[in-house]
Amino acid sequence: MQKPSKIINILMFPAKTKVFCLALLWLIVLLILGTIAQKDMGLYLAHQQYFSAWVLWVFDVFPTPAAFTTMGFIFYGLLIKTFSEKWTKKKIGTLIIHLGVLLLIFGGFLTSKFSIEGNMALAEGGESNFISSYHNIELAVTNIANDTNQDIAVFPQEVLQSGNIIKHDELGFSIKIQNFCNNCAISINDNESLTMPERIILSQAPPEKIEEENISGVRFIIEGSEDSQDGRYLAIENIPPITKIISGDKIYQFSIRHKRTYLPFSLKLIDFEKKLHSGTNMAKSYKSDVILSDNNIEWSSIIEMNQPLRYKGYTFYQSSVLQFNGEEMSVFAVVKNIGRLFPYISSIIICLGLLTHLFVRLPLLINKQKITALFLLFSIIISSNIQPAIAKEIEPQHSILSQLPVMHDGRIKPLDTFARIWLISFSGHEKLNDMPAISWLLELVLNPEQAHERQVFNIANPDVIHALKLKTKQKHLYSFNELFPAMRENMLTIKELYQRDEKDNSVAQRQLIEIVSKIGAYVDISNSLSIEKPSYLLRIIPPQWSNNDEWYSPWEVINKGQGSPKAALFMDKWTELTLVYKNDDIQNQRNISNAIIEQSYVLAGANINKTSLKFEQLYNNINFFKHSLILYISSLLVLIFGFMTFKKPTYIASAVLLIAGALLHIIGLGLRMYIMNRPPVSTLYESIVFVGLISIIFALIIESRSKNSLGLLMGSMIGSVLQFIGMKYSADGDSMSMLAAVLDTNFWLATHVVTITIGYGCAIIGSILGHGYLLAKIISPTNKEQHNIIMRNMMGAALVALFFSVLGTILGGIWADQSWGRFWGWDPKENGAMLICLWLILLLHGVITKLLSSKLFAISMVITNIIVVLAWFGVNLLNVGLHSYGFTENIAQNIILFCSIEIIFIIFCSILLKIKKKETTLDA
Amino acid sequence: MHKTVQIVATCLVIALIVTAIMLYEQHYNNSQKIKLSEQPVNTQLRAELVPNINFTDTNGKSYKLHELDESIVFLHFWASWCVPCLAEIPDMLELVDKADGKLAIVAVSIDTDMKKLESFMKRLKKKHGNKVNNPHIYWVTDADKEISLKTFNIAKVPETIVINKERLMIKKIVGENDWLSAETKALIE
Repeated sequence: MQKPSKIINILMFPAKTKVFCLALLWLIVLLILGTIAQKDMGLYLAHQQYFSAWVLWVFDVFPTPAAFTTMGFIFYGLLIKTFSEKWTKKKIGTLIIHLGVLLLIFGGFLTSKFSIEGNMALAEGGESNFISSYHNIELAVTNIANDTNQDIAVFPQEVLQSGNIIKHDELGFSIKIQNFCNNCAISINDNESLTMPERIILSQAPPEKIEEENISGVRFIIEGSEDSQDGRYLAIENIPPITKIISGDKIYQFSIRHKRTYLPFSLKLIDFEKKLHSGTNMAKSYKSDVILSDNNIEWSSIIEMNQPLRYKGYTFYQSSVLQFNGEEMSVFAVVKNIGRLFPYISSIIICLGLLTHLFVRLPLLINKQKITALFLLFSIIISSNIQPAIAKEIEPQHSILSQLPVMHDGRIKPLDTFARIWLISFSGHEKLNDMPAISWLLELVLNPEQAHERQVFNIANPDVIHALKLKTKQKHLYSFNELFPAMRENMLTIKELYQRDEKDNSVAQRQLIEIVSKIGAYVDISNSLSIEKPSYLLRIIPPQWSNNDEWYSPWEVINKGQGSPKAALFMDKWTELTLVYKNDDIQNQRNISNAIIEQSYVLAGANINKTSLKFEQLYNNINFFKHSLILYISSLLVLIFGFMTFKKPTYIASAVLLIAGALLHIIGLGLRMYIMNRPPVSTLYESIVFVGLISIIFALIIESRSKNSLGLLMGSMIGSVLQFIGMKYSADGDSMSMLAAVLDTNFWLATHVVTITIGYGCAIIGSILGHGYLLAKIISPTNKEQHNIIMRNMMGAALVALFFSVLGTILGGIWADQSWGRFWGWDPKENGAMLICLWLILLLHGVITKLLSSKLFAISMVITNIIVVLAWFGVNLLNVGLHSYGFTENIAQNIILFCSIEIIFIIFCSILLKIKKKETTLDA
Repeated sequence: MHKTVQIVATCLVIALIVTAIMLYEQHYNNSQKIKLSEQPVNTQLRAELVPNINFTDTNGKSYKLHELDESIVFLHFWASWCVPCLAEIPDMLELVDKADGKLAIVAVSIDTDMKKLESFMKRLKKKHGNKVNNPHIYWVTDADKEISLKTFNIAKVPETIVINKERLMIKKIVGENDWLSAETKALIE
């Protein structure tokens, strides 16, 4: 019986919290060492030695676990821990976090093993269809007869070991490797009786700091060739190949180059622009104008910093500029990452877990505080937004027509809905500046010339803007008169894009096609009242003669012979309206609009349900779901701050807010059901809204039974999240605008910087509390209650800091992925952010498992300050990597000064505490 | 016991994640295809009173549509440039000829070039003689579209509206009509 338990003990060993903390500590050490090493070794080598390796050789003698091993160890421990532990309600947050971390590590491993990374260098006018790996070398044998330049055999770096004899079926000879060096020192033998290639000596030189500066070379012997061409030859990177072997009608050339991966398309550089900061030689930005050719499609695009080109899973980033043979070459970093989704999913899980944990634990950790009042005020401000929605200020003469029944997408809806759907589709907004959708639509229909000047088309993707040669605008809105000529110029490309499979098109290409079809729809709507120009969209005339339920646009009525005396009267009114609209005759507009509505009801007869139209108008004007979202968020906020203080009143307020939100939710959904005449689960949007409501009702039932705020917490959280997601999928409109937002770099910059700064801020608050705790212990060692309060607040601060640091780091990762194609690059700044996260994780695990005493925890929190400062400013001192901005001369001194003060403070406090302790024990 | 729960929960979490990814992908691909289902529309056809238009035939005589003597009226829209319209004229004349005064055809031409119309009418009379002058055919011009477009919302010819004894519009024939078919004859009966 004992043996298996021992085995289990060994198996369970990494799952112990103590062991985990040690592993984490080792990871922190690795991180610091690796980051410092980057200064001397360069990013890549340090990355290879510390982070992307299983074993790290200290002084080339002692094998120690490198990041892969440590992470693997942590992964295993966490896996065992997660699945062997009893899952309880209390631990649910921790559990979710752990699952997220497992997924993150797994995804990271996948990425580091299977993603393709490389670069492509192009001179102006140059074209290429392959990417070169950064680090892997290959020996290529190319047939250059008749300018074919065809690779016959490619030998990877692994086989280029001295003594290896390599063969290839296509080659009539064998190649014996004499020596290969990653970074070659080249010298020349004095013996003049030898041939030139034989006189060159290649020997291994120490690697360069910047990986790209290494020059690889290989010396080899050819055996078994025709016409006694056997002999010693060599190939050196970046030196034009000299060795040529002739065999039959083929001429073989040998070159050492970076490993190539061929792409299913090619890229041509048209123009390269380099902007310098004025008066300096420092690059401000690079910009490459390229043409991508895929079979018949030619696609013009711009690659800039932070503005990559994505195509068929590959992402091209403007990386740098290269001087080669006196020519400037634009260098693109190219990435294809299989595990790209992992960080996204796992970070959402981790953040959810942290939030859950925060909410479950926060009430225990944070004491009543005066700030509560402040937050209450904040909640009140938010909830005060929920005034009964007054019908939006539509010009009255327009609001009359908003109830005009039209047939669209198989359903009769008010003209107002039709206007909103199309305005959202074109511009992404329900309103144009202050112009309501209905007014915009009427202008487009009644006075197209004027409407064509209005900026309604939203094009946010810079790729599309460039392809159409438009000016970049802050608001990304373009008018028809701006777009139409641009479209006409690109008609050939657009036609090609239309004809091929949608899957072959990149995001930008798909967006371009979409804009073209939107313009088609726009023109169609603008022709609505014409009987000469075709239009199909605005179907305002119900069937007059046939028994089908097809409605017609005025043009269709004529063309399908569906005209009738009533339709003639109806159209007559529209003609009148056009006239008075152009004359700005408001009184007459009103009268005629009323007549049109009347006539329309006469026309449609029993076909329409006027109540349904009125309800839909109401549904449009009062955004029930948005208001319920606001109520849910308010309820959540009130509840959270209720946890800290005044339990009773906030509890009631929170419940009232939640119920009010649910009521609005029900009304909205009910109206929707009535209008659509079907259960509200047909589209993704509806199902999200519906599931949200169901969960809230459940949560309210739970709350009414248990009355411990858990139901309220759940309800308000789920309500907020689902309603928010639902809004993104907004009714009937499409979800394209969402994608554009994801690509909007400024958004990530803002969120990433803000969250990470909040994280730093909270860490500093925690650290100050740590100082306070130590001082309190020295000044009033007996006041246990005070110590406990500070201790609890300190933990709360650490938890909040961890949440924001993790969130901020992840957001930064997502931003990096969006802009540079990789989530994580072991850049010093990134390592700094990770350092803070790891450190806080270590502290929290230590204190939760009682490994750290309160005193030690406080001291560690003081150290947090040092770590924050180092991560924030210190990494800039290394002066390598992406984030080395804002470097100033005296920052180093200040950092050293700050760290010394903190260290002296810790030592001072420790000594004083020791003395105090001795005194108290002596007293006792 | 709790182990089983854990295993089930783990599977659920994985299943959820997989479903979420699949849903996302599907939505991403199909976001354009999601459409509202059709709502049944209750359609009832109503035979309505024809507007009592005034018209003047080519002989200069004025009439009111409601006051015509014939029990059935075919309000026919045509043009001299419209080939299908011309093709059906002989059959139309034949039908009126055989209808014993029960049927009136009000043939509204939407021609705008009066000279061309006149020369066409001359040729027509030459070819079909008296049939063209049948008193139950009212040849009407509508160059200003007062009848066709403005009253009946018609701009594409040929189109024919069938009006019964009560002067209700009971049918509309869009495009060419087989004037001698049993169906058309049944309308007159």
